[in-house]
Amino acid sequence: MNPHEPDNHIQQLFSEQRAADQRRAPSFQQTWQAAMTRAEKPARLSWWLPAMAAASAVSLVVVSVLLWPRTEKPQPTPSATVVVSLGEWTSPTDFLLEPLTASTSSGSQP
Amino acid sequence: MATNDNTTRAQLAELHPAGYGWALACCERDPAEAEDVLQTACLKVLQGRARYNGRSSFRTWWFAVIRLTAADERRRHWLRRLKLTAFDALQSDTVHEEAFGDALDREQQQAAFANALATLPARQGEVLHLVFYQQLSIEAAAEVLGVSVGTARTHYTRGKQRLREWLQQAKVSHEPARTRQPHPAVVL
Repeated sequence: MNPHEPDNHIQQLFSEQRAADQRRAPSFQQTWQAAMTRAEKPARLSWWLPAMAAASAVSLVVVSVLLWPRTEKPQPTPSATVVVSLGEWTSPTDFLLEPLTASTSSGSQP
Repeated sequence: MATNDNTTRAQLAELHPAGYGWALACCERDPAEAEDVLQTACLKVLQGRARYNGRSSFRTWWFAVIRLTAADERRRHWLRRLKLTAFDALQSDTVHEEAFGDALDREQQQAAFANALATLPARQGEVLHLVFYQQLSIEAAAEVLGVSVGTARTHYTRGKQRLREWLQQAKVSHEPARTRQPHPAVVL
């Protein structure tokens, strides 16, 4: 078997494809004329570019609103004084009452 | 200036059949898309967006313009392509069966060959097209594709190997049909 046979076969297939394509090819005149017509037309404003930009902006706003962290009023953290129950609570000035009562009961009055 | 334009136009006219073939190869052999790509490439020349600077051969330059234009068009029509791909996927099984089945006449053989080319990676198909169809050297093909000569050579070798395998497979599946002897019971 000729080692170049597959290459020849590939070449032949491509040549046949080229011949078939050339039979179907539009004329150069037709292509050039179509290009000239397109060149003379004012640039068409592509609608999809602004539409895509608007859609992107809207979706960005929606996503931002949905994901925005809710700012709630901060709850006051319970301080140590509040945790102490009222029954156990003593006034800071409570000690002032103690000596006064002791001195009256001992009768140290002149 | 006008002389230059006329010269360019004459060269483009001369290259038109080859350019159409290359546009077909860049557009998965879609004739309407290939024609559109050629028009857009001509439009680029008319508007001065594509200008030949003499650094390569005119053919190499023009083929590179067509390739880039086809790539732009592909990007622009990605949505349409997505729909078509879904449709093609439904039909692909049938096409492959035809490819290795009864491809007896030239037209069917050509269709089978086009299908086999379509199954190759794009770069491999492009290099093979430029070398076998357009008769370019691998160096010129590399220039058209904007890749190194080594890369082009690798794509060429791998692509050719896969085509050889396809040919072998197609031959094997055709041979029994061609050389099939009539059944003795039928002869008698």
